[in-house]
Amino acid sequence: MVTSEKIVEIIASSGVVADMGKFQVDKNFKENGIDSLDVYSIFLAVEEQLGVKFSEEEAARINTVAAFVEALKAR
Amino acid sequence: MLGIEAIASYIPAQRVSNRERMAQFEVDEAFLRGKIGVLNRAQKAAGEETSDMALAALQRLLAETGLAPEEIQALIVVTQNPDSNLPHVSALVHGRAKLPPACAAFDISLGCSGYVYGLSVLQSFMAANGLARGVLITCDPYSKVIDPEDKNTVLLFGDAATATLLGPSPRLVCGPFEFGTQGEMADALACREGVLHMNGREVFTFAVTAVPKNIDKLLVKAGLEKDAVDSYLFHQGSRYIVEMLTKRIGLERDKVRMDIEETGNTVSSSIPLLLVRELENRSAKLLVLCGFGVGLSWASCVCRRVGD
Repeated sequence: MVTSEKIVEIIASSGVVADMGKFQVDKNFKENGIDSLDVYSIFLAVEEQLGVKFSEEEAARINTVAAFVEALKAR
Repeated sequence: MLGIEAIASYIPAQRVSNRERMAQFEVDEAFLRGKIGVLNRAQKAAGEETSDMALAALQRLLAETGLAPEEIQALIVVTQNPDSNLPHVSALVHGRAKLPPACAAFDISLGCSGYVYGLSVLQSFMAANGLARGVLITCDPYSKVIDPEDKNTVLLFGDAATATLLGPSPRLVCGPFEFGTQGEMADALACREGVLHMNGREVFTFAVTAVPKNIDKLLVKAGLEKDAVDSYLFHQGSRYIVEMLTKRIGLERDKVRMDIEETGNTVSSSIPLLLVRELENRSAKLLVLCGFGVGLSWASCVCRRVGD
């Protein structure tokens, strides 16, 4: 099962967050200062690193680390 | 040997400011400048038609090169936003520019990959039929189909037209080419009931995964290392996409051209607008052009400077 730690690790590897030390897992991407285009990069990193593909319906619901974990668990 | 002799452009004078939409769309200038890359969008005048813009680009080409209309033996217009379903825009331009009856004229329906496809089609058509001079026009004014309240598209696209002369005394020779299509993703960038819809995430993912593979394939086909290329001219989808391509392909940033801030993404015109300037950059001996978008499709080619 994919953990929230793994998702955070992938977000860090995507390079969209300048200082991961300030990244707050319990907040959504926008609250963490991540804009809509950088969210595309996070999705791309998760899809490439985990070998998955999110539908638009799934993507529309994912705006936090926990939502990624939930969406992956539901598969 | 056929190749690019000259390029001219027509960019409508009217600019629409993205800064004025920042509050409505909850974005700031750093996002406009650093991510979308567009501060102002070129927009055609109300009532100005696709054929008007295409003709303006052609007339500038004729004025700048001294070419006579009767010397043009083939005319291609790349557009998906014609004046009407029929006739084809190239026929309208042909008539108004008084091109000769023996001049072939047809349109190509492609979006952001259209310029590179068009170069290959026109070059091949001319070679196969023994023609000396042909013109490739790009003109796809998306302001015709954009919903002004759609944040995904309205901040991005601008209107422009270009005209490229192919002939026997080229400054750039083009080839090899590489093409591709992912038709199963066609809905990601499509007009429905006359309005453009773009799934930004799918288009982004497509661009940054398909294009690097395509560039690798092109360079292998051309027998080139990526460092041997002087200038990379990617379709100006957005600053973010061009920056991501630069990073993922592993290119030196100063070899990648960017010019989108004052015009917007001009669809099939974005590459020739970059190429106009690159024609004068004589240190650029070897160039790679790559367009990608509607289809979803992509096309790339190598261009080599000759003569100067």
